Amino acid sequence: MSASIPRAARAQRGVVLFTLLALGCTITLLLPVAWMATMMVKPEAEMFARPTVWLFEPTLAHFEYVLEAGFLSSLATSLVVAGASTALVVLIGTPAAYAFARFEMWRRDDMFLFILATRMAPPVALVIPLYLIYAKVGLLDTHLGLILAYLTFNLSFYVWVLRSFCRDVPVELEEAALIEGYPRWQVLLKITLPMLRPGIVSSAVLSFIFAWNEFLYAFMLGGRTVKTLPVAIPTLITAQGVKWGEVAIVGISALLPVLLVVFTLQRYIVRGLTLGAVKG
Amino acid sequence: MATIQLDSVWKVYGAVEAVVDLSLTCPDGKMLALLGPSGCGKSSTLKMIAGVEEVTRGDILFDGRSVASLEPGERNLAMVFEDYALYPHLSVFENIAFPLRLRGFSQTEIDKRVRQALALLGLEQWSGQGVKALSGGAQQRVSIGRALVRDPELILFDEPLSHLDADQKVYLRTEIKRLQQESGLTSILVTHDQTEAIAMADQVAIMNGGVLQQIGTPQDLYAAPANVFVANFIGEPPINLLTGQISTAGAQMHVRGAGWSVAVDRAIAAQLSGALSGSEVILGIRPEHILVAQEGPDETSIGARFFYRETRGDVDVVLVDLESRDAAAPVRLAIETPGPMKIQQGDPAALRFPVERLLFFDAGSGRNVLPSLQA
Ligand SMILES: Nc1ncnc2c1ncn2[C@@H]1O[C@H](COP(=O)(O)OP(=O)(O)OP(=O)(O)O)[C@@H](O)[C@H]1O
Ligand SMILES: [Mg+2]
Repeated sequence: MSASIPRAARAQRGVVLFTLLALGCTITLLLPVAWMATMMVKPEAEMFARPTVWLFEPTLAHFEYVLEAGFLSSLATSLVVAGASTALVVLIGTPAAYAFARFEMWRRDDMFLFILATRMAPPVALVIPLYLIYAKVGLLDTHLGLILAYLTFNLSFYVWVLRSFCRDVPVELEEAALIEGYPRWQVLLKITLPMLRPGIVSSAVLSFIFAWNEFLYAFMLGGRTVKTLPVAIPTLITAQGVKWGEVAIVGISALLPVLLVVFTLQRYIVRGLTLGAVKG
Repeated sequence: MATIQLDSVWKVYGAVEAVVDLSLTCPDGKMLALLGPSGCGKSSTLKMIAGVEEVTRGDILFDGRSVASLEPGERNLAMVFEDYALYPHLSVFENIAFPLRLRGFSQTEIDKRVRQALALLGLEQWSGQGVKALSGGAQQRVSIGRALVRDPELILFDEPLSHLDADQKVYLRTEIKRLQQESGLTSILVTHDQTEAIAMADQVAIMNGGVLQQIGTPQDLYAAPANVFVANFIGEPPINLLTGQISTAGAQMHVRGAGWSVAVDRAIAAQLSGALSGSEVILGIRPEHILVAQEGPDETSIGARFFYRETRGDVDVVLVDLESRDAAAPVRLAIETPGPMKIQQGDPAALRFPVERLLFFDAGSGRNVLPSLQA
């Protein structure tokens, strides 16, 4: 008995220490974001006052500028491009990954490596040829152009990751359902897809984030009428100086959709990312 | 219900011949066990019957009709898997209801049937739960419930007990057998465990390297094994095998090896020498058939020395070394005796091999050359 009390106390202290540590990390990470958030409504004059001014008269001037400068359309463009390319990736990539995992085909492993090879070249190396092709076929500065560009990038990543998820679905489950009389497409729909959901969601989210943050392709292949947020932000570096308040607003609004996606799908993402690690 | 017939079935994966020219029949309402070591093609055979693997050559017939062109779902059979193959995203109830949902049963009919299955297998209290939380035994009962719920003509069991604890194993073994007999379900059981096959099946087919070795009742396989492989595979502790030759000493014929000899009838000896491909014979005698006495040998018995005694509770298994000139490679035999036997290592022993219990195999082919002796 006497030995168990200190042990319990020690455990308790461990929990407290760990919580403090986690809290410390979180605050350190969030502080710049919070500071950026205050910048959204900080008057220009107090922006870089020393010491930092925490109490000030909030202003909406930055918001007005951002709206006038058409950043809403950039937000929409980013959403459309990242959203549509991710949707296409899932639509095309899921059956492809399944086929690579399950079916015998001619030179399957070679083809699979070839798919991954599209990711091995540095993006800069591909952007010039892609630019020339796009210029020929009229895809420059179009939504479709960017969607296709991101599709080619994300598809290889998605297929590569999802294939191992597909392999983890025991083939006996599908055989059981086939024997019970379900046609193949229903087996896929009712058994395989539900089991793949964590894998699909987490790889789709990573694809989305990649497309959302991408700069080089968005800048080279879009940039005039089709302007995603990462491309739009540098326009706030003007001849009169950097518009920090506006940068903060755009930055925060670029963060929000990603946060929203991650939080709503958190359940699947955590399962998806740890699936390979904890085999059960 | 159906009679299942395999007619010269082959399964070839690339360069691997998993099943070689397999022909066998499982009579209506009976349980047939496919028994063999790992990788001998048991699962491949089962998957071909189920229709999830193509038959490379040959034909499979249900009640005389070929099912080669039928999809797995059209064969009206159910399968129970080694790893249960339950749908992890569905509850116990929904797992069992799953085959019914496709067949357009009304919700009340589904309820009724699933409840029946749950009750039959003692699973009522888990009904609404996810399947992941259940013990292995309970999961396997759910999968048996899923198989039974739609009254299939045939149930295939692929090593259904191999991942279970010993007590669960015995319990579920009896349970499966009881359900199978009560409903008169034709079933095929795949296992690598001879105890399981013997306890459950009406007929046992023994396979090795994709080739059928023998099919028969457990008694047949035990008493008259077709070859050395079958003799070795059935029985625990395994059969003793001794290599020897036929020799004549005056009027008496003997089968003689290093440190042992057994007198045999002239008739048997004649049959033997006619059937053997060479001069060597492998003599088989089961541990429970050797008579052992704690004394020095006389002219009718074989001399040996005790090596070790292992008690099995009801019986003793003693290991003895035959007395031979070649002390470096002693011939060691296992003997099952009604114990307990007080022995010291090195004590003399006298062994008798009752001639009616002996099995004779051709040393070249391993074939049983006098199967009629025991049958
Ligand atoms: N899909 C496959 N592709 C290639 N070879 C296979 C395949 N399935 C099985 N084999 C091979 O065929 C042989 C028989 O396999 P099978 O699974 O039928 O054996 P088994 O008797 O069920 O063994 P176990 O007791 O290990 O389950 C093995 O050598 C195996 O490696
Ligand atoms: Mg197997």
